Amino acid sequence: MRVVVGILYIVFMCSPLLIVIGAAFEPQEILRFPPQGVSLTWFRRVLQDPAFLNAAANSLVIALLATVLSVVLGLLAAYALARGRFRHREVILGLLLSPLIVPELVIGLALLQILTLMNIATDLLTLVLAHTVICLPYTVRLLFNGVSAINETLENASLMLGASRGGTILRVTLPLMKSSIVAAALFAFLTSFDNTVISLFLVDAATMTLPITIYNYVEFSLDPAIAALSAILILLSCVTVAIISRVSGLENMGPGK
Amino acid sequence: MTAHEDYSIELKGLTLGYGERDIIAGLDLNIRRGEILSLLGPSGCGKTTTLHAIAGLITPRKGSIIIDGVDQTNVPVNRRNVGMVFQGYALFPHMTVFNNVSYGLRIRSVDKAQIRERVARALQLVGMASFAHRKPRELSGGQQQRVAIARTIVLEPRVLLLDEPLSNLDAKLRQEIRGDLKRILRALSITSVFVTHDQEEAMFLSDRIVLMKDGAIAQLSSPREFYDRPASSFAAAFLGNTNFIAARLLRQTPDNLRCEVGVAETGRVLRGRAALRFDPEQTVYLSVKHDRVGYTLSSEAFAELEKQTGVSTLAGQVTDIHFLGHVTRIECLAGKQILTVLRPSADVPADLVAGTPIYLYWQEEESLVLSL
Repeated sequence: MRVVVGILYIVFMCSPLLIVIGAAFEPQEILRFPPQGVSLTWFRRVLQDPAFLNAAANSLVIALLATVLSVVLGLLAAYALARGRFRHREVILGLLLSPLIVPELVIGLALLQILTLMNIATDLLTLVLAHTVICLPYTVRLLFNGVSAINETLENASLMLGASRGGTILRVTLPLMKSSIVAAALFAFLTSFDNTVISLFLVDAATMTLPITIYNYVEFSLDPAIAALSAILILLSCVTVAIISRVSGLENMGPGK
Repeated sequence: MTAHEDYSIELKGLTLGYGERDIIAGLDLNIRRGEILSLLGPSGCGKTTTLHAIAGLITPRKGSIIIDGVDQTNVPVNRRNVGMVFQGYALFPHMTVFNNVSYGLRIRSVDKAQIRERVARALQLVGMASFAHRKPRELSGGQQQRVAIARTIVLEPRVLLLDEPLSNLDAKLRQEIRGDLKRILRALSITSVFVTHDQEEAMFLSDRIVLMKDGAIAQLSSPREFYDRPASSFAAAFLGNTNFIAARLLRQTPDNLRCEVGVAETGRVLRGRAALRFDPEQTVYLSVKHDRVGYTLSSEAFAELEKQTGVSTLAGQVTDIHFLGHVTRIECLAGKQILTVLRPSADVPADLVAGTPIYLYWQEEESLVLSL
């Protein structure tokens, strides 16, 4: 019974991906499944298209910067919230998690309005900051659980052996929460790399991200180029997850223990 | 000699608390150089809080902490050079034994050759020299404890604090490990303060015992004195193995404080020692240790005993018998008083059953009159 449910689950989760990957090998200029033949034409086309390559580079840069920012800020917040003794900790934690609740459409519009009011042009930096806002809930939550899972006595032991608070964090706390840092970075990266809605409000010609480029492309032409691009992205995600699970183990990747 | 040379740690009017509540209020305690002192008491008595204050993990609300004659009250935890063995040992799980023990030296930027030498010496002392490259999770509880001790003594701390050092071990291992611990502490001859709720552990390990109750010192004495002369019924009850007979004070000799009491309900007159002066007619306990009570089953022998001076006697009935191997506990009811007799099993007939009349006696010297 459990095996049957498991197989159904996997089929349900994977079939859309398989259909997209299958459609990518179609030789004709028609998006369809199953493909009528096998060809790598569309892969070649996508990998040579400067619009896609530029957008991919933008997305990569933005996602990397948003990841670094949201992990660093998330670490600071998580440590303070998990270890600090101050009032309203729950309120502050709630506030930091609130971008999860507010629709992205609202956040995007709000950010655009504020930027307009302040006469700030949208550029790569504003896009990175906006992405950081939506990545923060994930990193704060994961890192908060990561810090909380470490026995505070270990930090006290380090202090009693003469280490400063900062030295203790560097030598004891961070190494012990390595897997939650990796998880937080992965979530942040994917959240930013995938993001369409917020980006829609904040991109301009110079900062086109990959999801927006795909979105625009699909509006005008529905050919297997999109399927090929998707297949590449799926492959890259699989490789990333595989590497990370090798390096630090995916078992402690979930939120909390 | 000045007081500073006698005492390693001085606590003066120490008040400690978390949140709204004071856990310790105005504690004074002097800890002698080189002694092993235990803070003993039930959970919530403030013993761990006191230890954490000496360590610097919590800041006192009032009072001062003086170590080796220097006020340390406001010195942060990482500048105190006080060693601590945590409950559960708190070894860094991501480091080898060597890296755990060398941690404090590396923080102090000691040069590599000297680190190797000092770590080797510390591990040697605790008998863990061959485990330097293991990770903590590959060690048994007792081995982890030794590494935790090595990790702190390698820094040559002024005092060593131990928080419930044996509570993480199973009962059988505990007996063995506490022997090792005592040897190591004696070999170090370092002032050691440890927290425990186990009176037997406290007696076994320490030179002096501080019994704590509700954030104050209930008694401070050597283990022997603590056992022979508990200062209150709380101390006696904490020690366990003590019979308490509810009574009313009839007479007390002013110079040697000896008491004559009337047992509740029956009014039978018994005598005992006392350490303090009571009010006339005060309700008290006459206490006598389980193992100091003798018994006979023959009424003739009992009649003889009753004629002797200096012997207290009570007649009753066996209510229950517990065979514990080398000793047997006999529960008795004498009037309304419940008494326990602890005798070597060889002295207790195997066919003794509940309901048998039993005659209890003990030397008056063995009974101590205590306040409630």
